[in-house]
Amino acid sequence: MTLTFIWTTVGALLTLCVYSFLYKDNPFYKFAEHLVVGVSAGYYLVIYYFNFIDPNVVRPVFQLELGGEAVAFGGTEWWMALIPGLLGLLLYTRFFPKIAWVGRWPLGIYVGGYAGLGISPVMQARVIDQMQAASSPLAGVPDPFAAATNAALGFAIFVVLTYFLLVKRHIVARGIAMSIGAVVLSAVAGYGGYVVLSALSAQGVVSMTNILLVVGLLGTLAYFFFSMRHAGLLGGLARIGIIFLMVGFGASFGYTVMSRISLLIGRVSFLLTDWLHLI
Amino acid sequence: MASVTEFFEKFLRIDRRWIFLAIAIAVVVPFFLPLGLPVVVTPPVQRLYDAVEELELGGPPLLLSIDYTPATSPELEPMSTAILRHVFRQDARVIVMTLHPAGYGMAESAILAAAEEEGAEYGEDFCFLGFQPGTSAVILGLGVNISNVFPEDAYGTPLTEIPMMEGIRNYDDIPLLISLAGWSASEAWVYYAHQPYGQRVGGGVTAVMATDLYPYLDSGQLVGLLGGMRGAAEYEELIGQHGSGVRGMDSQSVIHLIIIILIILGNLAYFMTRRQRKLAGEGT
Amino acid sequence: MMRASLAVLSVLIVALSCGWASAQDDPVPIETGLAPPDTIPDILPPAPATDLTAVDLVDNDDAGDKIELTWTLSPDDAGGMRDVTGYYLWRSESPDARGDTLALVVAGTSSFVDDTAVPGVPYYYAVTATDGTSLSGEAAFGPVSGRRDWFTVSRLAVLVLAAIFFALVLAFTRLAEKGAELFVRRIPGLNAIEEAVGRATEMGRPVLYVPGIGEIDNIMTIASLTILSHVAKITARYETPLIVPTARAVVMSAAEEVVKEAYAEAGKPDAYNPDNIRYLSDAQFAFAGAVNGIMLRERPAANLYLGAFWAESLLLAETGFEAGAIQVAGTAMVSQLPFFVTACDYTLLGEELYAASAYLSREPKLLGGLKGSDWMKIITIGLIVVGIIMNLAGADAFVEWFHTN
Repeated sequence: MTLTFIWTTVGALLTLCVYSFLYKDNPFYKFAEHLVVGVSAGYYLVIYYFNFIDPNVVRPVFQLELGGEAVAFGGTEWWMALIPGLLGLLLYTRFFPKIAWVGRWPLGIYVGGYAGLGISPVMQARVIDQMQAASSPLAGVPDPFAAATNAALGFAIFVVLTYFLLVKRHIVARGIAMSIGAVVLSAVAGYGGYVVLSALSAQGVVSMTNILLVVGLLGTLAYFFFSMRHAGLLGGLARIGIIFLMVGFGASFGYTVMSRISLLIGRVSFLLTDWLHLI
Repeated sequence: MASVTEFFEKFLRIDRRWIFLAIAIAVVVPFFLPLGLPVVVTPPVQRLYDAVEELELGGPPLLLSIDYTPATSPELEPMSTAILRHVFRQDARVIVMTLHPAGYGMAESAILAAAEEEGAEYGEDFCFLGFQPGTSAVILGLGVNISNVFPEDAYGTPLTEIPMMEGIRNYDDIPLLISLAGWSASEAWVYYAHQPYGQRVGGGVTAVMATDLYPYLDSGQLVGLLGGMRGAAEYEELIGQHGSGVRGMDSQSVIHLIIIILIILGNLAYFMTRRQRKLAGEGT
Repeated sequence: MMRASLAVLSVLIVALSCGWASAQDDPVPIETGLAPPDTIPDILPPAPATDLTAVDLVDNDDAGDKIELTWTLSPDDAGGMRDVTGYYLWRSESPDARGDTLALVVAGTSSFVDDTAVPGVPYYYAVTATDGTSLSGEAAFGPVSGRRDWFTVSRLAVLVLAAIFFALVLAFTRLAEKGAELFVRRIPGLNAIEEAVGRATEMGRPVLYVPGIGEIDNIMTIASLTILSHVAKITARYETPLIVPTARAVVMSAAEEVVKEAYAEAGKPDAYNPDNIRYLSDAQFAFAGAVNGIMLRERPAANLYLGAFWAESLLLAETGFEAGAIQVAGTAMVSQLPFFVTACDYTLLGEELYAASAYLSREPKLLGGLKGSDWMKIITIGLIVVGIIMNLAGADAFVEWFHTN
């Protein structure tokens, strides 16, 4: 009877306590649930203290040591450890209603700092790089014929845009919607030509998914456009968008099912292998 | 006809605990009777594998951020095990850290187990930096200087005294970074390591999150991606050593089959009974 | 005294210049063990590399710690004696000494990035060719120092787009504050909500409105309370009971205010029942369990889930489905949308929740944000379309401008 076996048994029994919820809510489940909350709170406290607060605040400030090197009392590094530490302590003023407002200062710095850190990288990651990737759906299609077709079609889109914007003096949106439709059509057409020529190579499949991606992206953006009624071309695009959204939700649902099942498999594997040693 | 409809009506009212039981049996049985279904490797997994393969013997290390918690470890632990085995087998080096307090224990046990198995040595082949709170600030800080963020490793040794950390200052000295997470950490690595510093980032996430990260693959913001236990199984297939990922795949496939059948039956039942109700409604 | 110090100085100068000269001219033999033992020792040093230049390298993060060195290869590298095996790079903080070895690079290499520079410190670099036994004379360059730039030009696109976005949001907010008519289309989900409330009235059963389990500072909760006010006005008019279970104490008091005010506005202050605005539990699953209990006991005919939801989404929506209620959901938690879409009759997807709230409340900040992001979408669509056209036409510069890495 080793220590490992005892702890594995504790783990196994707790797992069974949690799964008993599948039958119905019961005290065993409640016990396990509360145990998790309590234990993790204690665990987090220890991890936070010894990994962060001790080496980054306590030791530099009181023992004048940071990462094995000496910190000068009153020097830059000393202040850099002390000031954030004090700001952190201010958060606890919320326990004293009279001075609770002081706690807003560190919170303000925290929220402002994180927003500032976040805006540029997130904008880059989620908007600009994605936009850039979407702008080259036919990247990697080397066939000169495809390039020529695409150039011709690109010109056609330009003509359509100009026609609606300048000659017809139509509302901007209609022109843009038309041109998006034209891009989609021409991209599909250009791709069709490419497929006929290259007999569906692996690269062809890649650029097909890229085109689908662009179509889905534009459709979804159109769906979430609220400043105009969903009618005509915008409505059509939005309808394409909702189809893509639903397919996306379906995929996401499927992945979630897979995830949850994996967790179950992991637990069953723990019970059968680590605890009972049946396999 | 009536009996068919009756069956479907009963089916729609089935006590869900029967379904739980069916799923439980489907999970357990393949453990005893493995089906050995083949695992086909998909491009995102292959790309991550290739990136790890490029790491050089004793060269600049991989930074592996083990950001998952016990709650998602069945999906992600097989990934960390497979990747660490792969790294040590080609005598490459790895720095392990975590962005989640509950990831500390996961990371430590994963790296120590793999190191013992492959005979890797602490300080020479790998080191464990531990946990620092603040996600985005931590990731950004590592781009300036690792020792600003982690003045010492998880065991209190200053980084300057760890042999493999010599000459490793920031992302410039790290050819590849992999984050394994069941929360938005992998995305945060893309935002704060790839975007500002151009760091190559690979990810391993739970299947739930895989759809969120797919857009970053095509645009090159992610080098490669492992999604869920399935992704782990593919990686195990690539390194030629099957572990809990591949072992779980049989159960996974059987359950998926059951669920697909249930969905089809459920839909059939829904439409059949609706038609029946409609007919009945018109009749009266 | 004066004379003595002058003498010391001159001795120093001589000594220094001798050292300098020897450093410059004399080949310094070094131990490398590269020379084959059975050949005559190669005592002739290779010809030196020339034209060393060093510049501050501007990269992504531009921390000012990188200095790029380039030089012209020694004539003996690929010609002449062909015996150059590599180049030693030296870095010093003074022009008078060669300083420390920075690196040894192999023959044929004519550039190197020193990524260990401390920003602002002037450095003097030198390069010497080596044939494995002796060093050539050196080519030197300096001073040069790394500089942290205030502005990373390569990321201009981020600044421009962010500035446009913020300007749009601020401008539309301002317009809305001034009372300008900003058009927002009606969200079909609102019709679905009204229909559901109507059905509940017909059946004489209550309406259940769950504002999510987010805190009051969650923007989804705020949007939800706006829609709650709209729903409460309808239920007040029809005198249909409205049950609002909450998971946060503050949300409960806010919901109380909202519903009470809506009933007053609808002219039915007496129909307001404070017992129907309930705080259940802060714990996620305990809350879900309690709401499920309400669904089964009080049998509401319409279940509305609008706000921030996590894993409890499916538990709620599935129970409601089984209880046969009409269900309308709305959340911006993308991971929960699939469950709501599957189990509800209508779902407000993501931003639609905010749009519905802005449409109903006409609150300037909400409207400004909505209109601003709407126009940002137009700009994004436009840029993608232009990008595709430019790309197809072979002009990559446009797309490249957005390349920030």
